[in-house]
Amino acid sequence: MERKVLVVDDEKVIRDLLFQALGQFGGFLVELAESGDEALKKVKENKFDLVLTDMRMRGMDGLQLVDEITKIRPEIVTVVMSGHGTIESALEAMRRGASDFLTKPLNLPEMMIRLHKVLEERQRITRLGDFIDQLEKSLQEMRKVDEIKSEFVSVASHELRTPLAAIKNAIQLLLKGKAGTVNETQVKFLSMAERNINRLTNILNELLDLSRIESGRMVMKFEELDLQSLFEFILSSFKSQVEGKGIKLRTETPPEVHKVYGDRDKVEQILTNLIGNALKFMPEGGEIAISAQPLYADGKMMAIAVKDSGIGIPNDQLDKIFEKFHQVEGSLQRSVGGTGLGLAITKGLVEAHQGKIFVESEMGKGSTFTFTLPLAEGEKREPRFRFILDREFHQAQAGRSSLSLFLIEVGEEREEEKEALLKQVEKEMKKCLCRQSDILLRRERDKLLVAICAADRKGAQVIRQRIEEKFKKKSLTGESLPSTVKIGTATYPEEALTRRDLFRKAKERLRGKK
Amino acid sequence: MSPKKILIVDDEVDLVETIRFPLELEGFQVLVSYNGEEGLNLARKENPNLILLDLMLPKLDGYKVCRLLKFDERFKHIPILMLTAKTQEKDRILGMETGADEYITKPFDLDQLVEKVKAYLSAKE
Repeated sequence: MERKVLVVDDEKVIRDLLFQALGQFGGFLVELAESGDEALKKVKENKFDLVLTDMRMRGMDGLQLVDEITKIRPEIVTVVMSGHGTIESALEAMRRGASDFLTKPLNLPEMMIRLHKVLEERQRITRLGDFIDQLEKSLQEMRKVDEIKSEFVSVASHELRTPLAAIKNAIQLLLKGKAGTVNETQVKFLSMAERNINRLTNILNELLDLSRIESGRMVMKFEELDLQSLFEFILSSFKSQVEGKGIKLRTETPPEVHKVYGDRDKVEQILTNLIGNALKFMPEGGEIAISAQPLYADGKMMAIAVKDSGIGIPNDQLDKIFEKFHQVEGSLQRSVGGTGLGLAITKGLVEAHQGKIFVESEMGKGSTFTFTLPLAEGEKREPRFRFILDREFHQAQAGRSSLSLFLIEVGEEREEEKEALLKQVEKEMKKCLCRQSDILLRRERDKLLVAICAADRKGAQVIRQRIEEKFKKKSLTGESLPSTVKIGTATYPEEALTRRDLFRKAKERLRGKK
Repeated sequence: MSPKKILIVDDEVDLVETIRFPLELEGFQVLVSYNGEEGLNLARKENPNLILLDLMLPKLDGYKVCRLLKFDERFKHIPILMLTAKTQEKDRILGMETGADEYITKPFDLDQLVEKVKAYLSAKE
């Protein structure tokens, strides 16, 4: 393809020379202009690949022309020509967007090489830009597809649930003899139908869980969890299953540290999945041991291990078992059932706690699944607070929802009074936070109350007004808040776009800055 | 003593039948409505002892029916068990905020549902 060049010079001799050189020997299509103004007009009306312009001209000079072209046609490559006296302005033109400059008198072979070079370079950059545009477009499309997929899974499982419920109920009614006596064979087949309805329900639930995890729409309700009692609960829920198979299930927790920070339902689900998995592949008389051990190296996490004496997992499968729909080949999988989603969900749930999960296994001896959860005790209160704010912030970002942060401080001099007032504020604040997902914490070190709630700026104002009203009712003097109580708030995304910013803004307002 | 009245509000005709049947076997009088508006009117007229309420209903959704009853001095004592195919946590929270006594996701265990209904009704005595 022939490249189109516009030559701009007020000297006719130069124009003629370049017309010949570029057109006849250089293989360009050449147009000529006598002045900057004429050039600009031509640039507006035609498509050029390159504009070669003199610097010093009457009227609009080369520098101005480069400026204009960069503004209206940034895709055109500009090269300036200058005599000795105008080198400085040629450099300035380069700074403003010209690709190269040539000095007069012109060296024609050099000029050809330079012009081809800048054009090639421009072409490469354009291609790269196109490529980036394409990448961005397909990334956007992928995100959209992913959203549609999540939406589909959620709608589909919802639509499937209602008919499933009717079938399940009808079978149950028949099976229980509520609609007349059923014989043994009928019971057998009805039980089969019931079992498979339950299996279908499980698959639905797992699909939904996974799509929620993947889209970051899972709601987490964090609290301090006592591992001892959690383990006891798990033991009792597996009691009949374990005894039926003649399997020993035991637990051990460390003597001193046994509190972690997590969502109770989700942690239970993690343990239930891992133990349930172990049970599936367990010979009679086997043993499952659950233990917990703080990771001192890291100081913030607790490692919880589920160790079984089952058949083990082949080495080459170890890194794949956490993938979706993966089932260990040649295993009893078909006979024990399962969707191949359980471990993918487990991994997602662990990661939602900012933990990690890994597995060790030896064929014929058994496997150990170990996962980590944040510790919640003693000295670890600070990281815990940061952890929660991180977590909530991340969720608000992913779910495109609002988040308000409240910092509340009591400036009372005397310790007992301070404590009493703080307790009172805490109590009132609790009443004002109405959603289950709202969080109220106390930072022990500096006696600071922190509330995190899913409210926008307006919502935060309402909460603030509500707490002021509560105090007004109780106060004798009618003041809305005791003068020693200070509240600072900030809202994502209206007032702050990062977690750090959110905290800083709330803190500034607490200190009375606007 | 006249039998206890239970109102089922759900637009899924088949599902309603499978719930109505065992409840009637237990000796309850079962009233049925297939949309929210009619369900609300029926509840106000008949003053049932318990309501099984679906969330997604034609005309008036279950949240609204529940709120209108629970914020009404005359009817707020009636236990409302929400039945729904929605399992999202945020739906659960919303369901609870409207004052529903319980939130049951479909599919459920029919025996357990009947037991639950009986427990609510005997607690009221």
